[in-house]
Amino acid sequence: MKCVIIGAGIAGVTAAETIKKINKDIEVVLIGKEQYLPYNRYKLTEYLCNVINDSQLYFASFDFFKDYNIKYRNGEYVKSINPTEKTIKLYHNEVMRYDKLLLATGGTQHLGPVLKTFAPFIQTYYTLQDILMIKRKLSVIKDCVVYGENLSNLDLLSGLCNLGKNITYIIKGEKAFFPLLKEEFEKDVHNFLENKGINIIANDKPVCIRKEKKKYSVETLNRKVIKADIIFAWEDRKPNISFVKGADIYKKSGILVNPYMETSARDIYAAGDCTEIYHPTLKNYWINFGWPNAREQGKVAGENMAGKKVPYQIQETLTFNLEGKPIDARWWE
Amino acid sequence: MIYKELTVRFCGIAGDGIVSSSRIVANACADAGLHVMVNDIYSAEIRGLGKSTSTIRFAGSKVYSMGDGINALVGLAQQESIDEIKDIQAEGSVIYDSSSPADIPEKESLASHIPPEINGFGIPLKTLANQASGSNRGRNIVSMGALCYLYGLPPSIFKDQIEKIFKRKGDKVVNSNLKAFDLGYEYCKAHYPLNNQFEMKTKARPLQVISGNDALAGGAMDCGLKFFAGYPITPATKIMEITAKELPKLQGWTIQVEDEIAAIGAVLGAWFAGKRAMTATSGPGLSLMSELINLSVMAEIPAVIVNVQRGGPATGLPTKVEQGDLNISLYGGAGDSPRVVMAPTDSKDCYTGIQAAFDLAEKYQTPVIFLSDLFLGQRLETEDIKHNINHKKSTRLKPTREQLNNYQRYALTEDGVSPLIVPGEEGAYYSITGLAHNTTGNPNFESKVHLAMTQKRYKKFKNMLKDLPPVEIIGDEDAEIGIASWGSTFGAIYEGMQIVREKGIKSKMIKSIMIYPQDEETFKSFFDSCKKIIVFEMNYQGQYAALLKSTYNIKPVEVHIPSVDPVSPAKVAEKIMEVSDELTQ
Amino acid sequence: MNNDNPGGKTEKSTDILDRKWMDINVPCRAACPIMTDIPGYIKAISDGDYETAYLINRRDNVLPSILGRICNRPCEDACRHGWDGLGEPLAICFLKRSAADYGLKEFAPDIKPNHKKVGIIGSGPAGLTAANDLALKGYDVTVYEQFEEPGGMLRFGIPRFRLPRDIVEADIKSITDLGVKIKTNTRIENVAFIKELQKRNDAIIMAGGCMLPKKLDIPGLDSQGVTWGLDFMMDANRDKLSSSMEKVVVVGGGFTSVDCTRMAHRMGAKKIALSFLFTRDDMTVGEHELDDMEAEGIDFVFLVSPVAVESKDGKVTGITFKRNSVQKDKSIKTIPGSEFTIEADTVVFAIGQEEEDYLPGKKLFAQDNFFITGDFRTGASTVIQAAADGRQIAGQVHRKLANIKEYQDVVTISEVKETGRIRDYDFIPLQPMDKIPLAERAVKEKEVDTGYSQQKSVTEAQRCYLCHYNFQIDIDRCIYCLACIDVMPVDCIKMAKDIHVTDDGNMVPVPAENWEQVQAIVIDNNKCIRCGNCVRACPVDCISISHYSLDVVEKI
Repeated sequence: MKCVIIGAGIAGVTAAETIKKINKDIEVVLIGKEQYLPYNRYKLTEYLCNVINDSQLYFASFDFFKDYNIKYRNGEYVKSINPTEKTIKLYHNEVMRYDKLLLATGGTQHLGPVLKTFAPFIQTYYTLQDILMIKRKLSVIKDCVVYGENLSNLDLLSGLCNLGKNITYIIKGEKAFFPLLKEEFEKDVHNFLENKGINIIANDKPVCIRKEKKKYSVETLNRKVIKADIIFAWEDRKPNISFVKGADIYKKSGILVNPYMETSARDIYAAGDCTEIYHPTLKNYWINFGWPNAREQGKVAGENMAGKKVPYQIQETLTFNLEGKPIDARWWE
Repeated sequence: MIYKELTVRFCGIAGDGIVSSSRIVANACADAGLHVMVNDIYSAEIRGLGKSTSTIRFAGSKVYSMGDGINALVGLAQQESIDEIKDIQAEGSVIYDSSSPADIPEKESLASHIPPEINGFGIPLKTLANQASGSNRGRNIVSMGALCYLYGLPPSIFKDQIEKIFKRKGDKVVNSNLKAFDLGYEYCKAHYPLNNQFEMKTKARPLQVISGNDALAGGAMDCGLKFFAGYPITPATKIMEITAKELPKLQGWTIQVEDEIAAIGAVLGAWFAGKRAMTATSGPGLSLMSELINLSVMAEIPAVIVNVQRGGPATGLPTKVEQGDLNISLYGGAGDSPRVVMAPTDSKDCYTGIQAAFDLAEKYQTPVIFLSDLFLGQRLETEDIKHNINHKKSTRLKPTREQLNNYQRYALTEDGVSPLIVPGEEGAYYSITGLAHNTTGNPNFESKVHLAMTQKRYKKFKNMLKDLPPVEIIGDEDAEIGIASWGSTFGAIYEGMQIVREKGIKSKMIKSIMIYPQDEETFKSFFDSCKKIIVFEMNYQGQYAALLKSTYNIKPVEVHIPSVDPVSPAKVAEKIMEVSDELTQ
Repeated sequence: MNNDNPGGKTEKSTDILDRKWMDINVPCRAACPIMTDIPGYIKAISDGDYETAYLINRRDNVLPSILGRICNRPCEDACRHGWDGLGEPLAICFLKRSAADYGLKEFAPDIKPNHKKVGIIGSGPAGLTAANDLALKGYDVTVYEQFEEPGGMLRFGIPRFRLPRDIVEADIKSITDLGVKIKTNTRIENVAFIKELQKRNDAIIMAGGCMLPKKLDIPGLDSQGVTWGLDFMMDANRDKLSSSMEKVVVVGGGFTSVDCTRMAHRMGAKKIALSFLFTRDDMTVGEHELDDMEAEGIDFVFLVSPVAVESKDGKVTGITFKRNSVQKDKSIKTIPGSEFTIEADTVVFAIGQEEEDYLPGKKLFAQDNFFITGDFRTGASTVIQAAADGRQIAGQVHRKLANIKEYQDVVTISEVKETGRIRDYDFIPLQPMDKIPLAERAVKEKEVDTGYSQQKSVTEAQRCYLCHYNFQIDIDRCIYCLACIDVMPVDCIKMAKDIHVTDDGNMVPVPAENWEQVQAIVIDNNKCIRCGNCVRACPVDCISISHYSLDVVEKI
């Protein structure tokens, strides 16, 4: 049997490992868009600030793939899938057959229709390549503009602070707000950021970015103009599922799965940040968030692909803590 | 990563522009002062869809061989390139076309064979070429732009070269090629922005790029070559092509004759008439020339015979290298038939060596077999060859006035060399024959005359020492491991020695263009100073080892590499370390 | 209208394969419900001839200024330039707008009156198109419109910031200029009135549309602040909406619901949400409109079913939903225990329309001279579908009244020397539409899209592959040198062992596995992007280009 896994993040790699642990004779192919070994995305800011090194960043090595006999196709991505023929097509028109397919492509930062036009001027902050590109320019970066109200923005702000950069943070509402923070931190986070020297512009949003000779110029809805060396902006994170277009698989923003991580298409599973699953406590469809959840989903998907029937237990805890470390205790010391 | 040297291989099928790509890269690098070596590997089909690869190695300091493995593979043909992946070093790259029009099954896709340690870069070569030139031609130039960005090379050196090479085809062609280059460059900049860097040389003067065949032909013409006769054979044909074009400018002639026998015959005729002449062939041709070489020996007519060796025996492997013709060069004549055998190690050696060959041939009235090989003959390298056009044009021992009275063509002399007149010169004439003869040249079958003549002919070789190009000892004088080799294996061995030197292992090599006769004293003292001797050569039997063993009574470690790929420095280093380990035990 | 090769061969064909060629190879035209000659007018624009471009649209889809702004563009989804690896589809709709913006002129052909009378009930897109077609054929047409202005949905259902008033008036004037009379404020109340019209006219066409909103059966519908989609839009378009709304929830998923949310934004509402039973992919509205909504700060709530409207003191305070899950047969089921409420002071239900049912047994009215068309006949659809239906029914009317045996499709094939395009055009990126800045979009009247400049429209028009050209290799002259295959940008030229004709008339080359099997080198027109590389590369000039166009001819 051949299992093909699209996405080499924690969900995908865990699924691959799980399948092999159950039955090492199953052929497993893992396709990852990035050239690098699988790495801990949530540690990227620490890597940017040189708090950790390579060995702490990656969670799987070349030996891992050799030992488990998993074929790792790095630096390639999937263009389309054909559930009827049970094939996938890679971006260079290679057609690969599968018996079982797992979609674990995670999410990407979504720019929104207004900022989409200015994408070439906006630095993405999501992949290892982004971090390495920023590292290259660090010495010439002084002024930064940040827009977006996710936990990843908070993460970014802490990183830029640590690096001693001058930050202007644009927020939509009156006070800075991040989802899923511990209650006591949530109330004070706005003042906390201002005390760290971050210049917050409230009730506003960027609508136009221009490239001038030496700097970028950001114009907001309320006609403020900020000059910056680098701009980080995104509306929210959206599951990375554009390649599913045209295939008969149910999705909302993410791929809809049942508790066995099965999608509506036969023999196709999904796990991690690209999925959406009904969360009874939230009473809403919920796009996976958090490394441990993605890992757990990957494990469950792997078990089900390898022939078992194991449901995914949705974690009851909502307040976010990263790998056991509560968010208010990171890097700000 | 920051690279000080890079090895890039283009792989494709006929029509993909493999050779022209590597020439552009090589010349661009050489113009920028980098040292370069280029090796092409073709399939043997004369036409049709054979696979060909061209590998370019370039660095800030001199490169002596093709090195070990490659850093980047440009796979212009998907399936054919799959076999090349195993040669890619760690953290290397593969560039492949991501715009194949038809669907590719997994097994046939180049990308599916790339291991995760190697970086794969899919670039829409076909689409970008189409955008630049309106056809699929130009994929190789697009890939060059990509390569240039990915390794942080300055684009200007390539673009200058593109303009130079396509200039004669007109502005439109130049511009569409430049556009193709830019599209490849910009695509990588946008999609694979994190590139490597290459340490360029600052203020370096441009270097000349030359092949062994080029150097050989140039050297011959610079020292008075006036006549060339030959029959086309891979890989020697290039030499004839050069002389056909250039000799007329020097009041010389090239004739393509009906076979190799006619070729050597014509060469002997030209030498007899007093002109420096040469032929160039490969193994099968040399076999055919045996009998007329014997005539050259017997009648003491000078001859220069270039053998650019290839895989044998018989038709063998016409496009692959081998060092299999030592035996036939040394011993290939019936009877007691001594001849000079020389083997250059690089293109500089080809240049200076062929000039020495002519001097020896003319002075000592003997055939000289000049053993180049396919790798040396065809590869390109950056070399600083000073054109020596003031080379002594004639080394012929001319007779004195007295000697012209009752001229003895084969006069018995101190060193065995008889004064030689040229037909048409005033004062004398003589007979010339392949039959055993006396000093006049007339046939004579008395045994004591035959003995004297044979002794004379051998004595010439004993006295050649003063005129032989000197032997070089390379490496650590006090090393206990000594290496002997011949021909183009030199470069890889030299680099192998550097590799082990860094690990603290000393070795030395004896480098001699002369195979026969040799500076035996120097050779003997070299071998005496070694605890272990390694002999490397690219043939199965160990032809050179056999010669050394019988001449110097040594018991070397023999490394026979009848492979058809150039020797690799890593393999050499491995062997030296093995021997070194044995020594320390 | 093609003049690329005056003196070149032309022939007219009624062969089914040529007709099918047009459907398969000119995908935009085949996707358009009214079969607009899209490559025809785009070519005209690329030549800077806006008037011809306008006239082609005026002839083919009757309402170019309107459709150039609000059409839902099924053609763009089919456009060959948008196929895998080829880039983005043409901005066909934006170009239609340019044709109207710069090429609108008087349309007054010679019409010979035939003194027959036709009455049309309803002046929406279906009624207007039918009126246009019949007037052109010489009929004396009167349109009866219930509201005070003609246009139907165009005037009242679609907001002015997408479709300005003067634009609607201009297109309608072009029809009334043909002699069509429109009687406004005339509502056809009952069957008796219709029977009266039938006596006075040779034919009657009922094009009354779907003006009744579909209703839900949930509690709280009678609270103050609950309204229905079309009523909301009509009040907005008549400037009768109150601007006290702060938090608005629109329930729906079609065009009207989207317009309601954006109208609410312009009425000053601070929080606006659109709720839909299914997911974003299932929405019939185009991506560009959803993008505009997102830019205007409108939230989306997908996979929810409304269960009750909450109120306090008779006023709306919010709306309660249940989450949906999608079943295997694609139907939805609510998830038990998933109730949640969104706060709101205004709730708009825009869940579809139905036709007014005041014609009892309307199907029984299929008498000799009574016809029905548009949304009234098909159920709620799009403007272009309604217009296409209007054309079709007008054709039936004319066939009946003029005793025509049948209509026949005739394909005109004419030889041309070249297409007038260069390969560089294929790499021009999609030209984005200019929009007014975000800050100015809260103004009700202001049109958000400002239209292409002339230069931009020419640039965009140059992108069109002009799929109405047919490239063919003359197999008698081909020397099998494969130079064409060497230069093809996609997999469009095959070494074929056969040509297979499918059931729907598509001609597909069957690739040969080796040289022995090769019968001919064939250009696969399905894949061909008309780049011309093969023509330029062919050493024996054996590749010909012909232009295909389609007309409908009456056969008496």
